[in-house]
Formats: sequence, structure tokens, C-alpha cells
Amino acid sequence: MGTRIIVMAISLLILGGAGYASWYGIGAVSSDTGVGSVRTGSGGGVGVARVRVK
Amino acid sequence: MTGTISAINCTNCGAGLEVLGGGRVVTQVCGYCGARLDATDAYAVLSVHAGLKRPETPFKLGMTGQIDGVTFTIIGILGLQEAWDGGVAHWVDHILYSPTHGYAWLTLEDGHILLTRKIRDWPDGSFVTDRDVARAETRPSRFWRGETYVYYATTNWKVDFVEGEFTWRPEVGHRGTSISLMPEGRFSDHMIAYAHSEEREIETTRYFPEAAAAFGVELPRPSKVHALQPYEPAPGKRFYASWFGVLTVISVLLAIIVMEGGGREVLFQGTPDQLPPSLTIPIAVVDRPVGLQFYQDLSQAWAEYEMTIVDPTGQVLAETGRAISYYSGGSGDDAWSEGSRYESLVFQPTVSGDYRLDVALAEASPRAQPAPLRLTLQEGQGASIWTWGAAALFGMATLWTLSSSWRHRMLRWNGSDWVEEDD
Repeated sequence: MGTRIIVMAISLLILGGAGYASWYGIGAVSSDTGVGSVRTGSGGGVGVARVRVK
Repeated sequence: MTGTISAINCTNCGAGLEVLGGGRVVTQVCGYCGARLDATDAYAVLSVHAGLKRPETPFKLGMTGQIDGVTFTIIGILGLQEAWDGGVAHWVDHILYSPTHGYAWLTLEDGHILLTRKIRDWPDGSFVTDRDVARAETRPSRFWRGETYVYYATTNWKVDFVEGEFTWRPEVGHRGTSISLMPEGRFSDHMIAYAHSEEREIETTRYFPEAAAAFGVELPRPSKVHALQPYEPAPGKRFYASWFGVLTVISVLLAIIVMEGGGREVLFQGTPDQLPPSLTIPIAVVDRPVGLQFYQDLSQAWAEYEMTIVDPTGQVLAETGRAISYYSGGSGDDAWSEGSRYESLVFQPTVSGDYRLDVALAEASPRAQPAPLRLTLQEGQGASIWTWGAAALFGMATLWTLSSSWRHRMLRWNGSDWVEEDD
């Protein structure tokens, strides 16, 4: 019974963590956005933009 | 006057030896000096095996136990081994004797106990030999007592220890071959073996863990699944399968909700030259990211857009660009495509209010300029990869739990040395 409770607790933690991270979009924000981001020029070629985030 | 001898003194070393094995015993091997004594000729010394290494077994000569309601006594112990390229396997055979039911073998192999008896009603068909196995294109099979047995493995054994009484003349180095066949059924706990040494015999072997309690011994814990080991579900299998199954479903539902959740609004639809210089984005929820999705129906073309996002307080949140390109060619199996008609930008809003989005076509190939462009806003953009990951994890746990019976069967047949020939 003890093992079951441990397995249940760990799996609920995983589910809760995954649900939280998914709902709040952890890791989804584009790396070239943020307060004070500034375009620093084109790196050449299609779609390659250099951006500095302050 | 006639009587039954119950003990002798070893004619080589003088040690006291019990006589337990009945009238068919022809050899007695002294456990003290290793002398092989001829039980049919006043226990004359046949040869001496000095310095034998005793195999590890909790069973000892003279132990008695009930098997299927019959009392058997352990009268002899044989250490056996099989060597092959990958190593050496060891096991121990214990010869059992009952005055009313004759002889049997109790085998200890990697903590597993097997009970073997000779059979008189041989299966139909010829005696299976290793030559038959080598020549066969499919697993050799035999029909016995209503079941079909198929080839499992060939064991080329060698004796490396002897002690006690035997109905033949075993000695160290004595070799033989045993070809085992196992029923195809899922939960069979027995096999038949065609044993070939000085004489040919057919035996039936069954898994017999009850021997430990019957003889009052404690067995070592097996390290592997034995070919004859019946499947026993692990405690809580149904609970864990149900639990992980439910968590899998919940994770999938959460992932779908995250993917589909949040309001989607088309900000712009038209050709790039119709883009207004500035768009207003009203944002109410600030604790979740906001996604902007670009879709342009391009074919063999590319386009690069510049954009700036400014929050209600005037702070620049993005000053960047996105490029869309899509090329394809070939046909049938040689068809290919490169790039994507979709691009996205996800940012974290700072405060609620109206955000300003400036989007302009920076550069494009000629075929991109008349292609329709759609710009969509999603408030409350999530990252469903986390819940999809959890669903995959719980799904694998569910499958792992549910497949335990199948995996057990695979492990049982894993010891088979049959190799299917390639066509």
C-alpha cells in the first residue's frame, strides 16, 4: 500500500507540473521577444534576424 | 535370512554412508573421499574422484519430502554444467527415490526447482536427436497427451560432481544431450525432453517451487525467468494499469484543452500590400503568453516580415522579423517540400490593455507579394508539449504494466536456441 501511495503521489506531481507548465506556456515564449528587445540587424538569408533582448 | 542394508562403510576411506536408494542402485559415490563404489559387487571401488567442488544446493542426501502425496528421499546429487561460447551454466540434479513410486529428479537451476520423471508412453514419432534439430527447417514438434510440443533447446551437459546413490554409473566428465520441447500454449508449466546418454529416455519436467516447502529448505532468489515458470501477475497490476490509464487520458485531455484553449482572433486577412501600418491588440489576460501566427499561401516563394510589438505603457516587447518560405517539387515517391507556410511569434504580455503591433513586408520574392496572408492572435497561448510528454510517460507506464504477461512469455522463450533461417 505504501508503494502505491508513493507512485500515486509522484505521478500526480508529474501531472500537476506538466499541466501547470502547459497552461502557463513555460518555454513557449519566443526568444526574440521581451521587454526592451531591439533588432540589431539581419544575419543574412531568409528569416535570420539578430535580436538583442535587454 | 535376508534383510535390507541401511548403512555401509566406504570401502575406500571408511566413512559411514547411508543406503537409501532401493534395489536398482548400482553405484554409490562417497561424499567424503569421492570414491565410486560398485553396489552390485560388495561396494568395490570403481574409481576415486578426489577434490570435487560441491555445488551450492540447500538439498542434502537423506532429506525426505512429500511430492503429490508420496514420500521421496534424496539419494543422489549430480552437479552438471553446459559450456558454450558465451559462458558456462551450472545446475544440480537431485535423485529422488520412493519405495512405491520409484525414481525422479529434482533440479535446482538459478533458484528455480523442476521435477522430472521418465515417461513410458512415448510421444508419436521418432526419438528427436540433435541431428534431427540441425536438419530441421522448422522447429521439430511432437504430439503427447493431447498437446503439441515444439522444439525449445538442446542441452549438451557434462557431469562435474557426484555424490550418493545412482541407478547407473555416473562419473565426472560423463556427457549427454537433452533436447527439450515445450507446448506452444501460453501458460504451460512443463516440457518433455529427449535425453540421450548411455541410453535413450524421454522425460517430462514440470516447474515445482513447492519442493522448497516439501523438503523444508530455503531457495536462492532466481535471477531470470525460467522457461517453465508460470506467469504470476505482480501485486497491484490491475490498480497500476487503471491508474496510469486514467492519468494518460487526463493528460491527453489537458493537452487538447491547452492547444485549443484561449481565444483565437483573426487580426488581418488579405495580401501583404493591404497590411495596415499598425494593428491594435486588446489583451486582458497577462499571466499567459500571447501567440501571433502568420500563414501565407506561398508556393515556390518566400517573404520576410518585420514587426514591432509595444505594450500599453510604451515598452517595446519585440522588434524582430519572421520569414515564411515554401518550396516543393517532384511527384509520387520523389515528392519533396521545404519550409513552411506557417510562422509564429509568442510573447509575454506585461499589463492588460491595448498593445500595438506594427507589421510590414520587408522583402519577398515576386510570387509572394500577391499571395494571401492571414495573421491570427491567440490569447492564453500554452505549451502543450508538457502535457503531451506526461501523456506519453503515463501511456508507456500503462502499456508496460499491461504487457507484463506478454513480456513474461517472451522471456520464457528467450532461452530457446532455435534460429529461424532467413529465406
